[in-house]
Amino acid sequence: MSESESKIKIYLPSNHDSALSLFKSVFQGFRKGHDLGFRLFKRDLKASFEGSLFGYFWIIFPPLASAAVWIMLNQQRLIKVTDTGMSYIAFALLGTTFWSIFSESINKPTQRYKSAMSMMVKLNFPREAIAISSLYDLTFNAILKLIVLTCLLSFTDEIFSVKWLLLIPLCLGVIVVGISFGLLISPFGILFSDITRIINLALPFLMYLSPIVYAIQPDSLLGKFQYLNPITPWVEHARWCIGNLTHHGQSMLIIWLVISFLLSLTGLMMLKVALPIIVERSGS
Amino acid sequence: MAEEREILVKVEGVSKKFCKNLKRSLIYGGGDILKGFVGKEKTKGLRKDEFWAINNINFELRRGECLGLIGHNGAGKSTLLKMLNGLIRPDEGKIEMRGKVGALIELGAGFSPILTGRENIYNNGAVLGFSKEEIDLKFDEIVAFAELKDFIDTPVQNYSSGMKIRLGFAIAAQMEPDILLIDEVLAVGDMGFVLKCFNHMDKLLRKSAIILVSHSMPQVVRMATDLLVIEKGKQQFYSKEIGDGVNLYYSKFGSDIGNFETNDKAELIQVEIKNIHKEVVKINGKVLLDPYQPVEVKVIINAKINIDNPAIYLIFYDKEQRSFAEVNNYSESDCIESLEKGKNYEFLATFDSLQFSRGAYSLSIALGENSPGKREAIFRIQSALFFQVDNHHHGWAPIQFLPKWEVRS
Repeated sequence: MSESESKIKIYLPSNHDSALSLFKSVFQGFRKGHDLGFRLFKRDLKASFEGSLFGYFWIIFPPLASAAVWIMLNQQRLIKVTDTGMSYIAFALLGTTFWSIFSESINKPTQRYKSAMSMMVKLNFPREAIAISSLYDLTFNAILKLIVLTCLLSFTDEIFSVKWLLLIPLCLGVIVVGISFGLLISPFGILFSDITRIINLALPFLMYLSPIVYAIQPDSLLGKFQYLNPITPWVEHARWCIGNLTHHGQSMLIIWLVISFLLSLTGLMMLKVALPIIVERSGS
Repeated sequence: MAEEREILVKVEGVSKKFCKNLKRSLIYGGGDILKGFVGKEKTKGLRKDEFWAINNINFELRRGECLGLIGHNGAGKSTLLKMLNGLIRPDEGKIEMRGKVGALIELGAGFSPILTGRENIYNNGAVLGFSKEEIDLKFDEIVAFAELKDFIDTPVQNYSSGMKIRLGFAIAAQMEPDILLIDEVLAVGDMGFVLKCFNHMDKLLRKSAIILVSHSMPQVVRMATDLLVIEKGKQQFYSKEIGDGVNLYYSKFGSDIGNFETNDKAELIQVEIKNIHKEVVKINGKVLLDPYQPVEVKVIINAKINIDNPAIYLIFYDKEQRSFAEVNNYSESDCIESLEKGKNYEFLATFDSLQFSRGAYSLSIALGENSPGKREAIFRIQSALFFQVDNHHHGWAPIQFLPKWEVRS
């Protein structure tokens, strides 16, 4: 309830505002919505595992299961993964954990905005709070996954070093990249449930196109494309942290951060335009 | 009166269209979003399956005024409130809101059932824009207002619906808005709490402008200084003459006369009311009475069984659906012995005057058997007849006597 709210608001039919005014209102929304975002995150966290016996286990389970499958396949020599430069268990665990963080980040904004719809049709609060709560949600889950990952990695041949701590910023980077795609999709994702279905259909396929369970083959055509894959630099650097694998420079990390920032901003501005239109079509 | 206070809400020619078909609505929505991104105007006018949910609404509201917004279900009241609250945009026209807007709409939206009342106070407060510190300060007041001291650490899922509303109102009541939007929130809640809420709103009204949506006319009449009646999205009535608007609103309901349900014991054939010595004047299909002239009510009943000691009741209802006057034929001289099966009977009641206030009224008719040791209802027909009274003496009470005054000192 700040003094700045006591100004004149004018609502007009036009559905487009200047980019500058949209940018300003997104910025304002972040400022005003921060506390609320954190509260919503806490509220949903408490609520989400009520009535669940295993609770937080469900956050860490998917990457572990996926890694277990690949480790098993590799050990049984059913598939042949070229030399990864580190124990395959560590390699696969790292890859699938990062992938699960990435895919969760893509889906999260749409999911969160959808579940907040019942509030959005009734109340006027800074919509950016939902994006903020998504960010908290993802960070919390990612840290949980990292803790489990580190525990598991210490059972492999890898030896803990200070470099492992770099996994945290790398993880956050993956979230930022993922959520930027998520935000960009969300205006249509909230409106049409088809979008979510398509993404969930495409994600496993995309995982096999990414160097998650295998190492990049630099000479192949796919390998060349993989350097453009947003997830590649983060996974490669993570592997470098754990097992001294070569990585391809920090520049890609920076580039993807900048791109993600711009994409997120675009997504948020699009949401500003889209949400009133979505709210009027969502009934009460 | 003091000088005019400043205008806080200004609504000019506001319209909103909705689409009846969901799939098409989503497609239009997607298109509108895309157009918004690339900076193209939305389609003007109606597209296929669209209709005007709100059509050309205009009003102004100053600080200290309360606009009662009434209309049938689906008239567009909530849609209008959503636009005022900035949740959705108008398709035409312009809305200007000056100052902080508070909304009492769906109290407790965002309550999480598994969290306790205490946690929900903080969460809901945050949604309404309070910081944690502000809620810390107001916490005790909120709990006291909601009268939930003993249950504040109980999960909200164990609250009754009335308790939830109370908590929701208590939190929202902490807002100090310039403009307050209220949408039918006090429907649940016991008498005591509703009164408390009204007292609170009275306090708010002194420094803010209130827009109140309600189906409860006593509530509207109690609060409103201006009245806006919406029908099918259109502005039907907008004035400070609250009574007239309420009459209009009531006159929309079931004024088709003569369509009485029958039962196997007796049938109401006809009901009529008129001034005896005057030509019948009708307004909106309803008889307009002069309250200070003799009036007769004629009721024709067809008996389908033999009814001993028939008792007929005429019950007058005012626009709030309050029964405020009643007559019957209990006294010996008014009685007829019995109604014979298959015959029509005409009951005629004459009054020297019906000193009712100006407004719309309805008449309910009941027939019973009133034999010694046996009282049985034969039928009761609510609102068998609607009529209007035109009285230049008018006030909120339905009966306006014209006594002879004498002043002595």
